[in-house]
This record gives sequence, structure tokens and C-alpha cells, in this order.
Amino acid sequence: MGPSRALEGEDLATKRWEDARHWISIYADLLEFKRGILARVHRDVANLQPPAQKAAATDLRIIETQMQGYQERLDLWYRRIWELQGLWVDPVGRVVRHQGKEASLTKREFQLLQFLLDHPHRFFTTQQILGQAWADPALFPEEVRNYVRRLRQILVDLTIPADLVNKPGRGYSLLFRAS
Amino acid sequence: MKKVQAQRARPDIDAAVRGGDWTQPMDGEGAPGVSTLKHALYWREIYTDILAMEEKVLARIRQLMDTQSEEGRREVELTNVPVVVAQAERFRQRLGYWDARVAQLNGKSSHKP
Repeated sequence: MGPSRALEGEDLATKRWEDARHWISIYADLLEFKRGILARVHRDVANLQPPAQKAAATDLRIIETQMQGYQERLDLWYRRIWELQGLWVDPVGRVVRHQGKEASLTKREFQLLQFLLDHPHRFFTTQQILGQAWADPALFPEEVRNYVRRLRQILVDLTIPADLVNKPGRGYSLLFRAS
Repeated sequence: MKKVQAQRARPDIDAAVRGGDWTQPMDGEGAPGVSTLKHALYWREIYTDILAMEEKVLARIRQLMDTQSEEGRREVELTNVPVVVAQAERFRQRLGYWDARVAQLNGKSSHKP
């Protein structure tokens, strides 16, 4: 599947919040489906002889490309749902507005929020956040905990319907609250 | 919900299905018509294994499809299923060539695919 190809019936310009949720659910399910197939193929390919492994690699490449496309669509829908929710993010002034409320963020707060908004519902370890959100792996891990605490407070202050959760072994993720 | 007709052409899938061309051998396979029995037995085993794998994957896809939404099922029908079916058909055909070669060299058919 080519990246970001829309499915039949999919309209990213929709004004309806429930449409966005519907497509988020479809892409999340498709990704889960592909993960299941990919795991199965990986397991089975390992038992084949080398020439067959090479031939079967076609299946793996196709599935991985499709997953990349679905992930891109999922991210687009997450961005769309934030727009429909009334979340407005200004990277120049590092300002976040949500339904009439506004907060000015520090550089690191903003970078972390932007990173998590761009990759919602995915988990990132402390090291990944240091390297990818702030591009500074030399920072202390305690900094992540500190800024996560600050961001949680900002989410509460702006009544943004999302939770910044931490799961042992997986890391941090910004989870959209369905209701 | 507003329905929008998505672009139907899927060049990636078309290419993948074309990859199921059963005239395509694997690397190092060679032509069955000039192979030794040992070589034919080896490639028959290779194709038996990979065909079994593809069939298991297809069964798993169909099983997992039951849990998908209508849109999700349609997408899987359009993407995964034809690719795996084409690949499986390619391997089945190639297995047929090698099976026939083994039978020819043995003077009888010894494999039921």
C-alpha cells in the first residue's frame, strides 16, 4: 500500500468528530491485524531454508509497507481529531490553545507536547524521548519525569481530553480520551 | 457518514500479484528439466515448506478478518488476500514442476501435494 492512501469512504476533511474516531478505530485495528500477520510470517519464515526465506521476504516487505501507510493515515486522523476538538498549537510562540484556554510553554515542554501529539497512542521510552523529542540524549532521565509532570498539569489546565500515561517496560504515551 | 470514492488503482498490489508469476524460479533453483534427483528433491522440499507456510498465513488472515470492521475487511481483501493467494499459487505451480521431475527421475510419482 502506498503511504497515506485513503480507504474507500474515507474523508479527512470531515467536520464530524465521530467520523474521525471511526477511522482512527479502523486504522488501529488494521495495524493490530498486520502486526498479528507479521508476527506469524516472521515465526514461520525462520523455519524455512534460505532460498525460501528469501522468497518469503516479499510477504514481509509488503506487510511492513502497508503498516507504514496505515500508521501515516492514523497519525493524520489523530491530527484531524485534535483540530476538530479545538486544539491549536503554535510552534513559533510555543502557545497551546484549547477551547478558549491558553498556555505558554517552555521550549522543552513544547517540544515534548508536540512530539507526543505527533505520535499519539505510541509508547516511547525515556531514552527515546530524550533523543527524539529533545534531540539531546545526554540529558538526565529525571528531566523526562519532570517535564511529563508539567505536561500533565498543562493537559488538566487546558482540559485537553488526553492522558499522558506511563506503562512499565513500554514508556510514555499520550492517549486520547474517547469520552 | 459522507462517502468518498477512494482511488481504486493499487499499483503496489498489482506488482505484488505479478510477483506471483510461477515462471519465476527462486535464486539458485535452475530448470527442473535438467536437474538431478537430489536437486529435484531439495527444491520439492523447499516449495512444499513455503507453500505450507503461505497456506497457514492465508488461514490466519481469514481468521483475523472476522474481527475487522467492514472497511477493514474490504482493505484486507484488497491487499493481503490477493498477494498471498498469488504467492501460494506460484509456489504450488513450482512445486508441481519439481514433483513431476522427481516422478520422472524415479519413474513414478512419490509426492501428493
